[in-house]
Amino acid sequence: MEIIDTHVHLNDDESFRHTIDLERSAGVVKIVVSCLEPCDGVYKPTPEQFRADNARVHEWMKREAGFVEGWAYVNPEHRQESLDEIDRAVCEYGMRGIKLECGCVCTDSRYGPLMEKAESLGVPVLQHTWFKITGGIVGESVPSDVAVLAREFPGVTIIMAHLGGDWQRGIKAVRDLTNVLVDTSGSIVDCGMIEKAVEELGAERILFGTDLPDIDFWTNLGKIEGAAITPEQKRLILHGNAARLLEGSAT
Amino acid sequence: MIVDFFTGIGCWPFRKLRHADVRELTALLKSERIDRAVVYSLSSILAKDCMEGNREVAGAARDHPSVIIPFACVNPAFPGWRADFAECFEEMSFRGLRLFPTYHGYDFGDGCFLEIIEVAEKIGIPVVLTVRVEDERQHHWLVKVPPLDIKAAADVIRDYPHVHFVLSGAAYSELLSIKQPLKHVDNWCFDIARMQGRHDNPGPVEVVVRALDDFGAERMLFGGNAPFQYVKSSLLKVQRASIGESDRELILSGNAMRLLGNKHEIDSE
Repeated sequence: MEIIDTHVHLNDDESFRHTIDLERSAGVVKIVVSCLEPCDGVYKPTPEQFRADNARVHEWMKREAGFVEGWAYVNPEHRQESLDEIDRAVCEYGMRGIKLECGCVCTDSRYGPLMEKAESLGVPVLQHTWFKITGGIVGESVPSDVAVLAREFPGVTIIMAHLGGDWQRGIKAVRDLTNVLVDTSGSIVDCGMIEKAVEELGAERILFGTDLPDIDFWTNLGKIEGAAITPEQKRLILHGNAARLLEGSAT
Repeated sequence: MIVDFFTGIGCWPFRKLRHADVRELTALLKSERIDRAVVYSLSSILAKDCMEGNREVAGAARDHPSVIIPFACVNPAFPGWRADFAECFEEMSFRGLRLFPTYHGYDFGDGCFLEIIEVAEKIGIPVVLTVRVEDERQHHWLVKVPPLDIKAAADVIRDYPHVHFVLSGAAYSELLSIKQPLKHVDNWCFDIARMQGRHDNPGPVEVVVRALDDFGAERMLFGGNAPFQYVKSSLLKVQRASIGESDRELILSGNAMRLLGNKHEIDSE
């Protein structure tokens, strides 16, 4: 079965080479990558930093053409620089969407111009999302924040990463918001999470992702292969939905 | 052969868990081609009295002797634990002890903990120290339980060289933090159930490959953490990892069989 991994990171080049080799050997046909190097554990890049991060992804996109696709990483705290970078990354580099991490919480009014830009370019927004009962990191969005954003911008496809971290909250928060997709990436491997997502959201709204290189590929594939869902639902999650999304966001 | 060292049955109040009763569990094991499972009572994690859950596990082992290897949960901070311990290991056929210090509310320095370890040492059973069963970021707001202090656990392991300890549910980053303190200590191993990523440093991206390099195959036990996790995730981590077949065999079954007794004894049950 062909696989598209929609949630991969470029950290150091050596690990990224291992990532590409492993993904290819496992039947992955495409990976969508962002580079977001934290500074002292905080994801608040300066314009110089996110430009350099995106340029690194672009180099790999050229080196592994057709296999490596990119997410344009920006920080809503830097409005004009982010808008300019989205134009560069999407229109010149050919990146497939926008990656927002923890620059600020996604209910912040500074998200507005970036979401309007996403809508005008017709590209999705991959939003890091994680509710932690132990407390989040600076600028981290939770599923209820994503729901607010999705209601405000119904014309933008938002991918709520990691099923919201706490997937029970995540699924409930975005269930009725059809412009929100979810990805399955990350370290949570709770039995039942995929079945619940399929039941409540429909398989068509779920994308496979891993969070490589930091989170194990097999851990993530096992969630889908081990879920009690139909082969067609697995095919949609592992490949079909992402293929459709990327086709729609091709510039 | 595959032996799963981290499997529970019983009640859990926070969500419905598939495969939490013995019928569902044995069906899961069969479908995943897992031959044997070391089973504890997850009811005993939150119940005051562990014995109801232990009796359920003992019954499951009686009904499925070729599949289930029962491990007892005993809370040494609860009155009557010595009698519970005796019932489990003298009257019932438990093969080892699984402890939940953070759920049961005692520290490694407490006299009750030291005493139960000494009793376990006398009868020569393996002792599982549970680091976590669920990711603490996901806990219910009323029951927020921290993970085990793994560095303190390493001290215990060093202090009792004749007890064989299993660290269960540890993250890879936590295991790395005790690599040096336990470098020359042999009486311990860990299950791979909650090693979900490598988290730092350049190099190979498969967590089992990294752990093999850091600790050696002899330290690693296959664990699925059913019914909390997809067992398939743990299975693929080992079955598809870029490692040698002899290492894979050790992780999937060899180390567990050595820990539980000789191969003939396990196979003949």
